[in-house]
Amino acid sequence: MANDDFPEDLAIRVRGVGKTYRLGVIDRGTFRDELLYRILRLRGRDPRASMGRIGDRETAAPGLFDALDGISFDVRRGETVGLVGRNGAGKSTMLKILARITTPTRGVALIRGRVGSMLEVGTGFHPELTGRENVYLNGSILGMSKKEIDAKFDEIVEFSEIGGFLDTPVKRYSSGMYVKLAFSIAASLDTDVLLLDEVLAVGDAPFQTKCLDRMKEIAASGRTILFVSHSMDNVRRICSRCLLFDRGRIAADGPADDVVRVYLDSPGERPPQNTA
Amino acid sequence: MSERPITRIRPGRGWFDIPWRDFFAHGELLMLLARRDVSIVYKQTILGPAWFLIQPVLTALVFSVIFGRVAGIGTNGMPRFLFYIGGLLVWNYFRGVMEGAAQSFESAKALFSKVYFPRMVVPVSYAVSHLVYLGLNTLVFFLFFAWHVSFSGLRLHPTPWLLAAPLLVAWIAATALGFGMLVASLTTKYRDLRFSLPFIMQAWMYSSAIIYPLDGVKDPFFRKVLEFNPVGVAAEAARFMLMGRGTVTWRALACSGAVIAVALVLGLGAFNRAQRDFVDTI
Repeated sequence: MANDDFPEDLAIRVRGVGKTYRLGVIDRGTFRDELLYRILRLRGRDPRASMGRIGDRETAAPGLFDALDGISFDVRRGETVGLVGRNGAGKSTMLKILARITTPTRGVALIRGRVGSMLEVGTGFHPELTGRENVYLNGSILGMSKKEIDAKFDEIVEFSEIGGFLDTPVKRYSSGMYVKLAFSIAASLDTDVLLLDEVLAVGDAPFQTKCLDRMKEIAASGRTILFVSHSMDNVRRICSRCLLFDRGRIAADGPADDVVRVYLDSPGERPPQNTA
Repeated sequence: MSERPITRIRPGRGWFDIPWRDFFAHGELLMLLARRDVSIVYKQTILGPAWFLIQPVLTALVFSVIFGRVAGIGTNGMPRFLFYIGGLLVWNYFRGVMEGAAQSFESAKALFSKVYFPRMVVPVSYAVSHLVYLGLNTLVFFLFFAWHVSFSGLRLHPTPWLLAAPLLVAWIAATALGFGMLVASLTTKYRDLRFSLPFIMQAWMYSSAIIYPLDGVKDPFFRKVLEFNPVGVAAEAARFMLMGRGTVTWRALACSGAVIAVALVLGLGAFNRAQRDFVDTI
C-alpha cells in the first residue's frame, strides 16, 4: 500500500517536506501564543500567516520558523549523497526527519529498507551500559535478533579499536572512543540506508581515513548513504552527488564537485555561526 | 535482507496514530531494556539484589509499628505483618511501573534524541522489569505466611482465586502505564509535574487500601470514592486471593475498571502525541 509512486531503484523519496518550529513556546508570553495558535488551527486558518513568520534569523520575537521548506529529492539505491550548507540551513533537521527522531510538519518521505543513523556526535548509546551491551542495544533497536548481532559482533569490535574497553560503561569513554564504536556499529549492522551527521569530526586522522574507506565499501555494496559534513574534502572524497541546503531549501543538486564549488563561491560564505 | 520494508514518514495524524506493528516487532528490545533496568538498579550497592527482599520487610515492619501499634488501625483479622506485606505487593509494583513510565522521556533522552524505535517500548519495559521485584516480594510474603501457619496456628489460606493473579497483575500494570504515560507526556511540557509526582504518589498510597482494610472505612461517601481507585481495589483483591480476606465488589471492579480504561486511552494518546516532537521541546 505504501509503494505508490516509489520506484524499485530508489532508496529515498522526499516530497514537499517542511518543518516549522514555533519559537518561544516554552519561554515567554507563550501560553497566549499557544492558545492563539490552537484557535487559528481549529478555525482552519494557517497560523503562519497570522502570527508572523521569521524569515530573518536575527529576529528574536516569538513566532514561527521554517527549518525546512518544501524539500523534495530522490536518492537511488547505492548512492552516496552529501548534504552541505551553512549551520542552520536544515541539513541536520532533514536527517532527523529521515531517522524519525522528529516528525515533519508537512510533506512525506519514503525510505526503502532498514535505516541506521548516527546523528551529531554519538548514537543511541545508554551511558550506564558497557560498550558490549550497547552493541546489542543498538542492534535490537534496529529490530535485529541476538543471533544476527552475534554474527556481526567481532567485526564491530575489531573496526572500533576499543577492544580493551568493551566491558566499560560508555559514560567513561572518551569522545573519540564513543564515535569509533558508534561508527562501527552503524557501519556493520544490517542497514540499507545510513544517515551520518558529522561523524568524522571527532575521530583521529587515521580513523577518519579508515571510516572514509569503509563508507566507500558500503556504497559499493549497494547500500545508500546520506552524509552531512562541513569538510568539503571528505564530501568530495566519498560523495558522487551533493545537495546544497540554504535556509531550509535545496539551493543546488548535482555532482559533488559542482555543488561544493557553488557552495564555496556563494556570497557571504564565512566561518559558520552557531545558529543550529 | 530479502524483504525491504518501506517506511513512510509524514506529519503525525492525531493522538491515536500509534505504531502498534512496529511496537510488537521490538519485543527483543523491550526485554533488553527490562533486563537493563533490573541490572542497573543494584549496580554500585553492597547488598545488591538482596535489597528487593529487605525493602518490603522493613516497610511492613514500620507499618506494623506505626499504623498497627501506634495508630491502632485494624487489619480485618489478618496478622498485621502479612496484611501490610500483602498490600505492599500491589503498591510496590504499581509505584515502580508508574514512576518508571512517568520518567520515560527523561531516562531515555539519550536514546530518543539519537535513534528511532517505538517510544512506547520504554514505559512498557518497566511493567516487565518490575515483575522481577513483584516475584521476589511474593516470595517474601509466602515465607512469612508459612512461618505464621506453622508457628502461630494461622487459619487463613489462599483461595482458588489466586489463579487469577495474572489478571490482577495486568490490572495493576494497566493502571500504572495509563497514568504513568500521561504524566510522562505532560512532563515534557510542564516540568512542574516532576516535583509534584512524589506528593501525588504519597496521596495515592493513602487513598489505596494498603495500610487499612477497605472494610475499615465507615464513611459511606469516602468508601464509594475509594471504589474508583484501581490500586486500592487491587490491594483488597490481592489479600483476598492470598488469605481469603478482602472486599471486592462487582461495583468496585466496574468503577475502577472504567478509571483504568480512561487512563489508558488518555495515557496512550498523550504519550503518542508527546513522543512525536519530544526532541523539539527538550
